[in-house]
Amino acid sequence: MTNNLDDTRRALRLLRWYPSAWRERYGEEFVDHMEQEFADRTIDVRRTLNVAYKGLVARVGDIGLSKTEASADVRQRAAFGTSFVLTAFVAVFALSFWSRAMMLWNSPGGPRASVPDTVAVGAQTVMVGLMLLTLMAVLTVVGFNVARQLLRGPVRPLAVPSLFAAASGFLLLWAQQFFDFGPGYFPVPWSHPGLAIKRLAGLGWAITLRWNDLWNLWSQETTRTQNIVDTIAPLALLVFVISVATLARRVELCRLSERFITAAGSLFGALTASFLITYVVSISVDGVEVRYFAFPQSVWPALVDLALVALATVLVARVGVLVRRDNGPNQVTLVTVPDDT
Amino acid sequence: MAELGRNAGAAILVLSSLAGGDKHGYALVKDVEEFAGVHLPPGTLYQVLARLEGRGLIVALEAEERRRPYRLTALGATVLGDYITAQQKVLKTGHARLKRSWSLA
Repeated sequence: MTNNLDDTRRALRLLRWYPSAWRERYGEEFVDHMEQEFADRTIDVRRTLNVAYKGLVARVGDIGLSKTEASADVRQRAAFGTSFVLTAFVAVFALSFWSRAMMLWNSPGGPRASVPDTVAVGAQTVMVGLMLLTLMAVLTVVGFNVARQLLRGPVRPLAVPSLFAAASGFLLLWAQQFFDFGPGYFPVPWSHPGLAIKRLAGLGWAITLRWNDLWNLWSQETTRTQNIVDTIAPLALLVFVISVATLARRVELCRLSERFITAAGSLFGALTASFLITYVVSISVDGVEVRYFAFPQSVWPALVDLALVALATVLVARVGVLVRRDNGPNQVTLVTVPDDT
Repeated sequence: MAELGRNAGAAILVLSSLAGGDKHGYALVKDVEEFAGVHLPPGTLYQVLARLEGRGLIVALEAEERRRPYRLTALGATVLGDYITAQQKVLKTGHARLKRSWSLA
């Protein structure tokens, strides 16, 4: 049996295709197995592709997008983490779309919006509001439980994602300094709901501007620092959301928080699906044109946006369905092991 | 054969191999190669092992150094037995029909 260092390194490289929980459980025996396989056949492209493919399948299962043999609790947490990331993506898009649509709908002297547009914008106001409130509530609950565990321990599983969440969150807050939140937005006149909602839409537009424009061109009018921050802000948002989802998977939640997380997971499915419906209504009835806010300037960007939001919505729904349905396999616990076979 | 999930063919090969005694991953592959002429790639093997273990059809025993042997459980033996009985019925019917209609087999 060949067991040299190169074979071990190759086996460890192949092991990286699998998620960490899988590596923890099967890693050692898998590496041993691969070393023996290498002794039989040094190079085998089909074998490598098989490991890569099955590793990716295991990763898809690990984030709750397919059935796995993990415990119900692990599956639920994984599903929630994935729902959270996807809903955050939809929420940023929804806030951006709604803010532009609302500003135009609410602009004095603009074209009078049709009834379906008015209904769609109204429904989106509710959807976006609920989506953001739910996401903020999840952040608060996860943050509270993470802080509690960091004080009481064990700290190790939370250390890296906490660091990433804090760093990316700080960067996102810091990035906002480049936008002038001056008297045009604050104070929000809560006693005048029409004006208040318009200002909130303006704020939403300003905030999401930096988060949406992943490949925005560097501008000569702005500073180099601002250009760098504008470019990395969407990536920072992605890192932040994934870090929070990882924390939600790893943190020990109290019973009340556990219940809340389960309810929020179900709510994500309903909210993303509802927003998708109102979005389709908005872009199909040819009502609110948001061309002044560069959205959508032609049919193709609108269709790409629609496809991405629809994909995210379908994935959130799939995760939810799997959580509800996928309670079977681990119920098989009555197993007797014979002394010898 | 819902208990076996996807890759039921590979699962049956693994269960059949373990019916002959406890084996670790590589020994399983070699045994299957010998009795079925099929080489189970490592990705497929470990996917099947994880599924069978999760469904209680096999159990992982104490690791011997880095190698972890697996053992067929009573439930696994029942599932394998049921599968073989069902397949025997299919084979018998196929043989009889080939013989009757095509004078083959």
